[in-house]
Amino acid sequence: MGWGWIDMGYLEDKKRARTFYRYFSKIYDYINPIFYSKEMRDKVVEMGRLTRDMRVVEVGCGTGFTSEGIIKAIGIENLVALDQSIHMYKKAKEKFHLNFVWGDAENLPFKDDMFDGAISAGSIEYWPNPQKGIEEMYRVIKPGSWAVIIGPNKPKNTFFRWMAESIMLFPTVEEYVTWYEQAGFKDIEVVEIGPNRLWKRLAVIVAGKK
Amino acid sequence: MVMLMKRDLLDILACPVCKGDLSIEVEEEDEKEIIRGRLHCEKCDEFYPIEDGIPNMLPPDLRD
Repeated sequence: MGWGWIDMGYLEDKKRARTFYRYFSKIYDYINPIFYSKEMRDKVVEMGRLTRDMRVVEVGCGTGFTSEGIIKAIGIENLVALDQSIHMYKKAKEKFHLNFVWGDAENLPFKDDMFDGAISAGSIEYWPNPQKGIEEMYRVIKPGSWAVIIGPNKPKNTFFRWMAESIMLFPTVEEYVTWYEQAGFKDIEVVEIGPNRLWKRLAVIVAGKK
Repeated sequence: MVMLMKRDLLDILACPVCKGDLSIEVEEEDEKEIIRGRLHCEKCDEFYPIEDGIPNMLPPDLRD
């Protein structure tokens, strides 16, 4: 496992990422469905073992695509959605009225053991220190609860790998699992998934129990 | 109507830096939500503003 990616991605600088998302938020809902389907989202919610009235935190709610799936399972009043970009959130706000907290994934503004679950979809690839972000998700959930992350899978093709890594972080399955193990998670589960038959392994879902 | 910061949220919020308890100063609220004010971490002596019902809990060095 290497740490060479630390210097690689353009968007790993948080302020730069925020500026990027200010503009990206305008077109995000048109582009995102190409890479992230409802089936993928439903699998994320399923692996989080979410049921009605659980209190859940979503780390990196973006424009609210995954929030929609979580809300169906637990009820809108039980979700606390966090994002570092107020502009992405404003897009979400056009769809529904989330309990929103403006904050950073690696510095969660919550007390320990507060949530019955934590979900993060399509956010980890912008975290400069994924280990710290995963440790924060571990910290804020109650013992016995699950934290689920979906993020990009490292492409096998060299050209796509180079292209992907020049803009953001594409961890391997092994890296995801190692981060989860080091954070203290048990019963770790991994699913490689994609939006269609050509891209069957585009993303990785990792779940772990505290 | 936008769902703004509810008082319930105070029970779970902590300072993003030291994870310590926060106190609140409310400048504007209605029957359901806190619209404007600020949260204070005594330990870090840092303030986190609430504007338009949204608590800005970014660590101070990550704010614009």
